[in-house]
Amino acid sequence: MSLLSIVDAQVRFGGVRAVDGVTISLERGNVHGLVGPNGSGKTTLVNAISGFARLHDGSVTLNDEQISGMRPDQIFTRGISRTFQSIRLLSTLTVRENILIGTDRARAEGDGRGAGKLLPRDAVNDRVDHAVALLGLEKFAGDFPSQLPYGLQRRVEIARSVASRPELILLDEPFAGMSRAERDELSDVLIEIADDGFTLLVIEHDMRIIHKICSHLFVMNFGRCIAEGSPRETAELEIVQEAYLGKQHGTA
Amino acid sequence: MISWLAYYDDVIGHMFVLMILAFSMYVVMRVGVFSVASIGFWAIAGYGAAIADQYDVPPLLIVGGALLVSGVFGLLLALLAVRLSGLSLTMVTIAFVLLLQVIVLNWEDVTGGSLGIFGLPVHIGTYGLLAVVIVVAVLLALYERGRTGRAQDSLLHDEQLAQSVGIDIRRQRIVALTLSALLGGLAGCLNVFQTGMMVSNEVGFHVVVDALTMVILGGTAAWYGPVIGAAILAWLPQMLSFADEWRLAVQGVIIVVVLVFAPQGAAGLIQRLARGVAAKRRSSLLKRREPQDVSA
Ligand SMILES: Nc1ncnc2c1ncn2[C@@H]1O[C@H](COP(=O)(O)OP(=O)(O)OP(=O)(O)O)[C@@H](O)[C@H]1O
Ligand SMILES: [Mg+2]
Repeated sequence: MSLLSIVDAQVRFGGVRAVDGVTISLERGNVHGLVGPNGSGKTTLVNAISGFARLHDGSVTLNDEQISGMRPDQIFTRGISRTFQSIRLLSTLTVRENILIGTDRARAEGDGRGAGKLLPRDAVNDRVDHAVALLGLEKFAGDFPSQLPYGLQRRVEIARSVASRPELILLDEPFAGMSRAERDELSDVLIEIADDGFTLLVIEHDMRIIHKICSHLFVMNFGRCIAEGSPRETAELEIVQEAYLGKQHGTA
Repeated sequence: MISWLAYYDDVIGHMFVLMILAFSMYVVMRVGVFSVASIGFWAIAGYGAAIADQYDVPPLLIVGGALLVSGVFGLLLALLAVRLSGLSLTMVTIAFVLLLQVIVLNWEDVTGGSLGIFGLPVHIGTYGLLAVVIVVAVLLALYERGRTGRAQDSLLHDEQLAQSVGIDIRRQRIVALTLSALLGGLAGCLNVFQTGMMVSNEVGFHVVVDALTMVILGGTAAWYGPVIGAAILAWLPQMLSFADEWRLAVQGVIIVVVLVFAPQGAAGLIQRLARGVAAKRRSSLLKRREPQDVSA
């Protein structure tokens, strides 16, 4: 059984079909890549999974429970955590407190229905310590986000997600705006997170990173999933090459 | 000192009443909801208390009744209001205050119309009010520590982020609006107990402006924001006595200046300074020691 199944998902904004009949499954323990040209609907698909965009048709199920139609906070307590394409940290809280927010409403382990008790303080601290260590933020836990360089701020967001110990982590362009060195470091961290047993869906444009971290790749264009499979084979497909070079012949 | 206290006893007592009204505004603004419903509950409880007082109902019973009525009405208004968002929600709370204003002015037999209700016994003194303020402030400070405080911060600054970490926005708003109604009711009741009267002015536009002034000056960053805001507002007439009939204009200028240069209010400034100090201390620590010695 797949961890997450999306069947014929459709999201429209007025006349724009941002997600236009996507059917894909995410498997437990995998790092999934999601690529596609600008405006192809990647973020909207993540929004649809996490409850921020309403589906006009189709469904999303997590562990056999339908989650489409639920509010974002309900979906979070069922075990899906996400980051945003732009950095979303609270400037009034320290790095550690920003990560704590991820555990505040997280449910005790083994309860997938979102109805479990809130975590006891010890468990919260363990999770936060673990996330802080995993993302290499030990030295910065007492700092405020604005004191950190951009790359580290991104890491704080990922730590916030990891600390909630979700079944699935959705990362919307976590590498955006990073230097090559920062990308390499972060991709190693994501591999570690996956080794820890987390399932990930990562939106990213850089195919080098995709090849390094992903075991399965989805390619989107014009709101549709046009190809999927192992990153190496999928990237070679003509339809995928065209999607990326599409500007040259597509608009003519 | 003693004679000064005695001379300004009314101002100080009124300041404490204002602090509770400011708390009422604060708890709801703190979660990112712009509501003036506090004034409505201040008015309902005020008239309720004044009317009950005319029939010699014991003061404690009046307070209990005021809390019960504002709590129930607060919850009902909250359940209605959270279906809306942003400006529409604010408009509902404004409509609520306007509606009460019309009722107060026209239901003369009960409310005394524009004259109001006078000559009631004074039930609480300055020290009693101070005690109430301390109790409420301590409860609020405890309430907004840890998990709840972080949820409030996220609702104030980034609703989407709040939702993405499992915070149920509607539920938080219902709790905040109800709490705000309780505090507004308490303040309205104590206002009558301190002054021995309830006048229609207390439902008017100027109370709304004063209440907003308090939260703007004090800010919504922490519980001490409304304390500072109310303290400033209570002494403003004294401080601005030189301005005579220009007082309200000067007050308006002060609000604009604060909004432009310190939009987070006094509490926000204090927090920003504290963050700066903490950051400096940490970076000097880091410089003095080897980085690996610094545990987080
Ligand atoms: N809230 C919205 N309202 C209207 N249109 C939207 C909205 N969000 C997205 N769209 C449109 O939906 C389409 C898909 O956008 P989306 O942000 O999902 O693309 P993306 O693949 O994430 O692109 P990028 O790589 O630039 O982040 C675009 O045409 C976009 O303009
Ligand atoms: Mg996007």
